[in-house]
Amino acid sequence: MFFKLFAKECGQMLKSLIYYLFLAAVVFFYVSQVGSFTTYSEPLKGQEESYGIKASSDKQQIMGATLALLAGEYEANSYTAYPVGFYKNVVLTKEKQEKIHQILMDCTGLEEGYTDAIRESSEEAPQTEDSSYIQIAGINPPLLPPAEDLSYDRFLRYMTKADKIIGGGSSYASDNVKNNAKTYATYEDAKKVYDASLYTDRISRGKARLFCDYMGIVLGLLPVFLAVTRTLRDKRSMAQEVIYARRASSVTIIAARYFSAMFLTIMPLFLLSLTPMLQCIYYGHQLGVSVDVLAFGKYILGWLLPETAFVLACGFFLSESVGGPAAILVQVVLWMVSISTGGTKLVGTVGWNLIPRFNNDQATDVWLSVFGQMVRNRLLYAGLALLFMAGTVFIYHMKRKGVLGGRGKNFIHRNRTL
Amino acid sequence: MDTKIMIKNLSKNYGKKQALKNVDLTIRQGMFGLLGPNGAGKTTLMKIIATLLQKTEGDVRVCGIDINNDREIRRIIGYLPQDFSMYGNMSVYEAMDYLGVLSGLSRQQRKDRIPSLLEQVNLTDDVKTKVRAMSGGMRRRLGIAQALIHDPKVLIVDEPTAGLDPEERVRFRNLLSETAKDRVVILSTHIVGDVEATCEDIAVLNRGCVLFQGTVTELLEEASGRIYSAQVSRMELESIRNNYTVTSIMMQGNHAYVRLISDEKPFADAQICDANVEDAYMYLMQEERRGK
Repeated sequence: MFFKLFAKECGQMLKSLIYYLFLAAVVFFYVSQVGSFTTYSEPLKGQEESYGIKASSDKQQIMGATLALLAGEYEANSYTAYPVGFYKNVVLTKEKQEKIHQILMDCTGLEEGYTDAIRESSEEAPQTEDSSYIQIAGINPPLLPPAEDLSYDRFLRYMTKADKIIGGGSSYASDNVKNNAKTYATYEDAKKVYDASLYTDRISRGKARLFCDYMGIVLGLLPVFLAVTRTLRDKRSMAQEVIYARRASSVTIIAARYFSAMFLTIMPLFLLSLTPMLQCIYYGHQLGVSVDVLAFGKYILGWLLPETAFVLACGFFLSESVGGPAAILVQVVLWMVSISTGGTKLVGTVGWNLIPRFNNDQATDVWLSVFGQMVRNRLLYAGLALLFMAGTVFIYHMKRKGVLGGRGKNFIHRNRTL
Repeated sequence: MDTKIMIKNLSKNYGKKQALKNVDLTIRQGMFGLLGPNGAGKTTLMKIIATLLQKTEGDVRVCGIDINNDREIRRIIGYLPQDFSMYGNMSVYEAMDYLGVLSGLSRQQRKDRIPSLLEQVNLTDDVKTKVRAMSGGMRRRLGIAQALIHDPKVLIVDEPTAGLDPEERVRFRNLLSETAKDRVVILSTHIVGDVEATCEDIAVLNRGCVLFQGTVTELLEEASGRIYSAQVSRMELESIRNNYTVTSIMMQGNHAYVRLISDEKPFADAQICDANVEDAYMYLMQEERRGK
């Protein structure tokens, strides 16, 4: 019975306007964001263009840049933070400012005059052939020299304390301090990235990540409309009781609706991924690289499917529980929080976000470093989706038996007139 | 299989309100009319039998199956709610096919049954008509067809003729009578004419209690000898209304022909006459108000 009902549900969704609006939004987002295929440029020794930038691994530079940033924000009493993902300008009380001052004194050995003590980075920007300097914002930032006896571990403890005083999500959180000092990549760095894109990612995996990054943004919200309209359709059409009185089990009915919505959400992504996949194959053929032809499929199933499953399940559960479109509001809030988490960091923001970000088709080492997080994240959302669906089946079953929301006709009519 | 519904001591509460009070009923094969005013508890009783509501107390067995076994009950019942509708964008055939799948029918069974049912309810020419474009009468006929799609032993029909024009109503009653040949059909209504025209066995429900259960003849016997008719002037009408339960009035110029209920001859011109179902129903309601 499940497969027959699944086919019927798919047929019904293919006739609904809301599904075609969903498709139009997905295709528009794909065309406008993913855009055309870009090839990787192989770094050449002594090339004019920069080899790019990278986070500095020089602990002295990290400490100096972070302390310079903290001193600047302290003197202006204006701290930038992303406590729950959203930008916030924090102004501290006198007592808290005093605590930050104490941290600065402990870390630099200076009581005052921080602005005067800040010096420009000694590292020179790369020069072009005509002797002009290539300057990239955020590279080789000004430094405030740390105290001579300040170890890196102690520095991190101080910064964690400062982050706590500011309210979290600041540039002083232990995960963020490394990003305060960036430096120019060398030829070797750039070559490593290029080779990883070709031989570790086999081209298509990096492209699939970028595809999933963009499509994840729309799939973090839009499927909820499909779930809500499907659930409320019974009520709007006054078809609830006729369906309730049927032989089909509640599991079969809800599962057929859920999986048909999921199938019709994911299928267009497979179709959309055909173009970049074929481009990857062609590009790989030109470079003599063996492309992973299943990469898009694997990334869609591993990355986007759990997200879609969660958004749909949440939509089905809330619509069935509340009996109205409240799920849309909840999902919009969830989407905004998730999309803003990590602030401007668009590569490797995973954590427990519904919409993990990886807005880069290279950065293989970053991907490998967050892969474990990504697996845990997706398993969490797949698990939550299962829980929500189990909850939906339970509520539907209770409604069907009249335990929830079941009333005689006159009771309903009285409520309508009140 | 035992084609009978046994209801014993059934009660249903909505919070503090008691919708059904110790209802005892036995419903046998054929058309069974459930009569009662609005708010009598008819829909609640129908929904309990259709497994759409939980009983508070009592026992209900449908064709020998306990009502708590909802999966088995749903196999053998067909249900037509009063506000029947389906998804507006579905055609008549699609709606039947969808509900057929939900009833567990195979493709072949659906292919065989749907055309014959649509023919039975006179919707053969409307297989492609969208549900949203159907008239009230057409929808009720589709409702009967969908309720019969899995050939149920019990058909539960809740106020099916409300809102239909007289012609549609007669057609619908005939259709119900035809389907009752080999199954239990429970027809809930507050329109006495529907029951009179189709049902042999009836029950009258008021404020959650069964006032009467038996055949139509037995119901008529209840009121026998208490129904009078008379021609009265318009001037007298007001006083008659105040003193007796009037079951019908037909105005003719300055006079009116009235039918009324009285334990004894109300006035000299009044003639005792045979009770009809409407008279008997009104008599029961009057007695209930009096507390007898």
